[in-house]
Amino acid sequence: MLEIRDLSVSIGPHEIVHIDALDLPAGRRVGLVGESGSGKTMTAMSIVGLQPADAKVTGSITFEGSELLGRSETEMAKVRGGDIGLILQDPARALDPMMRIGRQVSEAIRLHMNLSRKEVVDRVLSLLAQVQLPDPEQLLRRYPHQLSGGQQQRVLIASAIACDPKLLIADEPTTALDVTVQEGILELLVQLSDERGMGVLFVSHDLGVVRFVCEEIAVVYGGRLVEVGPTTSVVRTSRHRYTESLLAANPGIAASDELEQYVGRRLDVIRGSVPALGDFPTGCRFRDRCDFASDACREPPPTMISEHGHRFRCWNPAGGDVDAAAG
Amino acid sequence: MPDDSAIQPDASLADLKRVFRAVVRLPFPLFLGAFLVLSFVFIALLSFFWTPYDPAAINVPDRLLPPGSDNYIFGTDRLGRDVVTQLMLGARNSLYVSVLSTTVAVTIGALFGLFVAGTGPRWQGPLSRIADVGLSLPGILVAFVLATKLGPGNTTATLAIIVWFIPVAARVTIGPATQVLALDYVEAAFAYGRSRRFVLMNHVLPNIGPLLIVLASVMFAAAILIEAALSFLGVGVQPPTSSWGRFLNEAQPLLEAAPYLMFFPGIAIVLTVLGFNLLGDGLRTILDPQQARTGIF
Repeated sequence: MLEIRDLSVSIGPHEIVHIDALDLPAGRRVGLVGESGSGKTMTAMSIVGLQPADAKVTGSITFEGSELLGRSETEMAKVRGGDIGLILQDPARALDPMMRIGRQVSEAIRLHMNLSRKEVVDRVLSLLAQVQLPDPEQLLRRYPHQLSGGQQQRVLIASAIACDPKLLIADEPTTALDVTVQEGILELLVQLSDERGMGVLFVSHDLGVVRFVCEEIAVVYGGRLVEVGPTTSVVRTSRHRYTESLLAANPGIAASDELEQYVGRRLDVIRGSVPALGDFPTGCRFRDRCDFASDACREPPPTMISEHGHRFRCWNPAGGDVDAAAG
Repeated sequence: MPDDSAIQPDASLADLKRVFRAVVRLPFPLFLGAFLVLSFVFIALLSFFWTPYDPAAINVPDRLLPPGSDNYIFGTDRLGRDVVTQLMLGARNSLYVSVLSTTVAVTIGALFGLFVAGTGPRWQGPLSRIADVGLSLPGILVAFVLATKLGPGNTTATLAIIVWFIPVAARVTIGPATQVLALDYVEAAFAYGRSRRFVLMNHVLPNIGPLLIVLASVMFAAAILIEAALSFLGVGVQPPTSSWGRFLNEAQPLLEAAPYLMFFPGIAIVLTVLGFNLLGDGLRTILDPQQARTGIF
């Protein structure tokens, strides 16, 4: 449904994102994982044309066969909120504090669908019920500050799916929320996606969360796609060294049993921090933080190596050499 | 848009009680401000139908009577005209000029400010400088230039105040509007497919609304003072039309003989200015959903 080819986003002289190929089939949930500053949000935003004004986007993003890049604002506006919904990171800030919930949720409906006032109200009520908010009638007249964070995020989800989008882009939808609230929101997203056959591009820095939601994971480092594959395959048999270290640094995943998850155990960390834009090493961008870097890594990383639908680009992959026959 | 009638099908007695209770709980400054402003508006309107004396009647034998004299509560001026009558006529002119000029200036200035904020980084700089140029023009000077061109009068005073206030309103709008435009909920609105113009009018404007209300209330007050100043300087309203400023102007040479002539228009100006300020402050409080204790609007 969504195909990204040779997408490049640059601001000034720096190329922030370069993704050669990423597909999102209809109804699939794909996780885009990376550290802060890895360009994952930038990628998500350029799909709907909401990248910063000074960013230059080239390449190709096709949605259901038609090109999204280079569209005029008016043409793009038809897709936004209609076929593609977007959920922003911080629900407290993504709701207009001066606007009642009812108007807020109906914003896309009033724009994209030709409904009477009564029908709009009915639709909003049913959406609020779908995102499992209690007392929808009361809620219509409430202001955002009267809701809790979890409720606010549910309202945002309701607004994003208001016009039955085929693709939902969720940019760190649970990062600003309490852990206890997180789970409910994630379950809701999965449920809505299953019920509606809605594709989800789930952007997050948290592999633990992505693993829970997505069927497929794409790992980004320094704006480059380093590994893509089915969730189980990427988590259990990660091939790229960056994914491997990322997993080792996650307490929930790295623990070998339930007890170890909570009891003192030194977590592995990834050395250093993400370099500033323009300071990435030549060749493999992860080279200077990688324990397995060899001379080969100074060369540009290999093109995506494909193995049983699991693609990665690494000279010294975790789990041994590439099974060439499987490619 | 949620339809109220869909949620509250019938306005029953309980609803009326609820509204009454909500009104009672409104902030006190709002009541006081509204009371003061409405009183002066009422006095101004009343002057069209009734004044204690014929405004044009000159009664020289009764001139310069002190306040409390028989038949003249506030006394008479140097031509024996009733001070109460003059003040009522003055209210008409002062309110007319200040309300008209402020409304026009805030509307134009805010729309220009929103436009500038929405143009994006490349045009915002040059356009903001235009507002700054307007801001640097001394308002009194503008009024004098206009007066030489159009002749002194109400129109001149109103125009001068409008020209004076538009850049102020624009400048005050540009900054906060730019800030609001960078917020997440604006981005969310774009993500729903909304156009820049819709976002500016439906998200940015309501969010800087409280600011504009405060600005307008301060400007109403300033406009009354400026109108008084312009009339005092002879650029504003001309005889026989009355205005508080002109009243002050006429009272000035008589400061020793009849100081009370200065007192009454001065008090009228102070109370109106206070009224507008309180009203603006109260409105800002109840229009901000996070500050409002009640939700009747």
